[in-house]
Amino acid sequence: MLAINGLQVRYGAIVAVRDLSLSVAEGELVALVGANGAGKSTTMAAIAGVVKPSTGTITFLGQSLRGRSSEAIAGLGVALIPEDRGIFPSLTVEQNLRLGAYLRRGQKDLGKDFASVYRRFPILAERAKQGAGTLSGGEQQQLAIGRALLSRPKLLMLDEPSLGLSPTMVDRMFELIDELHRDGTTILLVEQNVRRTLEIVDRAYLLTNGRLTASGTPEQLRREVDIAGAYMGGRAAAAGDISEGRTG
Amino acid sequence: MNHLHGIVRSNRSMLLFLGLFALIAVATQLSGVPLMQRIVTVMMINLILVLGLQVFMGNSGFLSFVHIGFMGIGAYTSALLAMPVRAKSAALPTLYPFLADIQLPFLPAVLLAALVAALVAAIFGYPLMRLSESAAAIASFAMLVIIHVVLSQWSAVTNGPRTLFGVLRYTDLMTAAMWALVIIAVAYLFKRSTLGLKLRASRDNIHAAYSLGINVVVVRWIAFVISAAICGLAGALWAHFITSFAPGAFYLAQTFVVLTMLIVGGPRTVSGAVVGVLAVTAVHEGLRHVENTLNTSGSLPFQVVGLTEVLLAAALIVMLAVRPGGLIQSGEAGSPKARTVPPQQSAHVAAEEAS
Repeated sequence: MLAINGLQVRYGAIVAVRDLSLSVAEGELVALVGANGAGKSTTMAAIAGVVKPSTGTITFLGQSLRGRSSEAIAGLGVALIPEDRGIFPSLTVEQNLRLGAYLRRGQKDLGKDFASVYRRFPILAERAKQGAGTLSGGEQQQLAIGRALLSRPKLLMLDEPSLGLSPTMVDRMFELIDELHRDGTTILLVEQNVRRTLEIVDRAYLLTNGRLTASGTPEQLRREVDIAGAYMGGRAAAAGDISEGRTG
Repeated sequence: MNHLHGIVRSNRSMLLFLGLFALIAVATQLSGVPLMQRIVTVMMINLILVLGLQVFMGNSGFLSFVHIGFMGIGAYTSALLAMPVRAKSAALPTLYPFLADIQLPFLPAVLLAALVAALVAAIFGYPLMRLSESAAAIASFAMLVIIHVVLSQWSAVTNGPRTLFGVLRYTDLMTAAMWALVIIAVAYLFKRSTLGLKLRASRDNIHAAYSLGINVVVVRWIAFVISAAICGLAGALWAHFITSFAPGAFYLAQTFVVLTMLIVGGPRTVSGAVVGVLAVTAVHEGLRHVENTLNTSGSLPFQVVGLTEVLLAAALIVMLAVRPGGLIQSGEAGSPKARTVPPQQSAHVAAEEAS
């Protein structure tokens, strides 16, 4: 579904991502993991057309995404939920959701999809008429996901969905991503919390300083890579081994 | 009945201000005081201008200085179209023949004035809408200067920087008030429309708007054109009220009056714009009265000049410093409040924020 080949992204003199290749198949849940500054979010931004890669190819459903505007890429069915969640604080919850549905070709089944989003996130139904800016962090994340789902994305990209959430909300978020995956949504996930991420994904790519250092199924990664050494998070933090992690 | 109740409930703020302004218009008309009628007529026209500006500025978050230029375009267009042929040939002897020989009734002239203002905005506004916020503000100022220069140099059409005489008086208090009511409704409906939602979304978070497939430049541009049409309409009404005017009327002084009204009231809400017009008009007329009284009474050894302008400018500065969002910042005045959060919900929120 999504294939990236030899991707390089630069911010001026700094190379944020170099020679990255990865793929996501239909129905898969794939994660990009790595320390701060490893290039995970940049990779997502390049897919969504927010930053322009200097070299490499990005193809989605057989079409090249390079050179397309971000609204055109969104129109192809790629939904990115950025780290800041990207909700519109001065609009109501319901208006935010309505804008998500705007991308769909027909308005067929719109009522049904609204109902299913409200069923999945009852808090959004409760606060439909409230300003989105008054929601808590976890509720805003639910709103962002609900809004993305209403656009019926072919590929859902989530950038650090658990960031800044309470522990119970983090649990809920991982459950939710797992649920969406089981329902057949193709998901590309960026996460800091490697331990939790490896519990739910099909495959993962480990990035270090903009390079791909390992990839494979969670079992392979756990077996072959010293995640604790390459990356600060999950088990590494628990083990107190944080000295090597912060190189990104 | 239930249905009707729902309509009233979701439009409470709009209905409130429609009623208020209808009441002001009727009461002023009945009072029969010419000075009051004049003040209220100008206020209604200013209200249309401010709402025109609000449609664009409030929803897009962009600042615009050019809209009084569109008012000027509307004023001259309507004046030229509706002036009697003989008066036109006296006032503008070198006018192009195709313009010199026509005389339209009031309504078509006003609507065409709005259309011409919209066309100018459509052609020159598109590149502006591609700019960033601050660059667009400066470019809009440049555009105001350009429109002013054209109006004051195009002697064949505008009589140059000199006053154009002989425009027929069509606008009275009731006409101005009726158009003001229409535009109040337009501004409320625009804000809630899909287009308005997309525009406000792009103001809140432009990247998220793009990622939902919203073409921000086009959405912004459409709003700009609509708001220019409204200002062109206001200009036409004003032209047929004042009946003789020069290009200087559509420049900095009027721009700052209208911007002050919008900013004091609160650009993000329609009710803010409306309240701003009321407040600034009241203060303006009140101060002018004080100034006149002081000057005629001779109680001071000197003449008081420019008191209104100085105090209004001071009010604008104070507002920007103390309450930059204006008097009515987010929720529309008079609309039902959002439900309060149930107790167990707020506990949940508190727990989350504490973590």
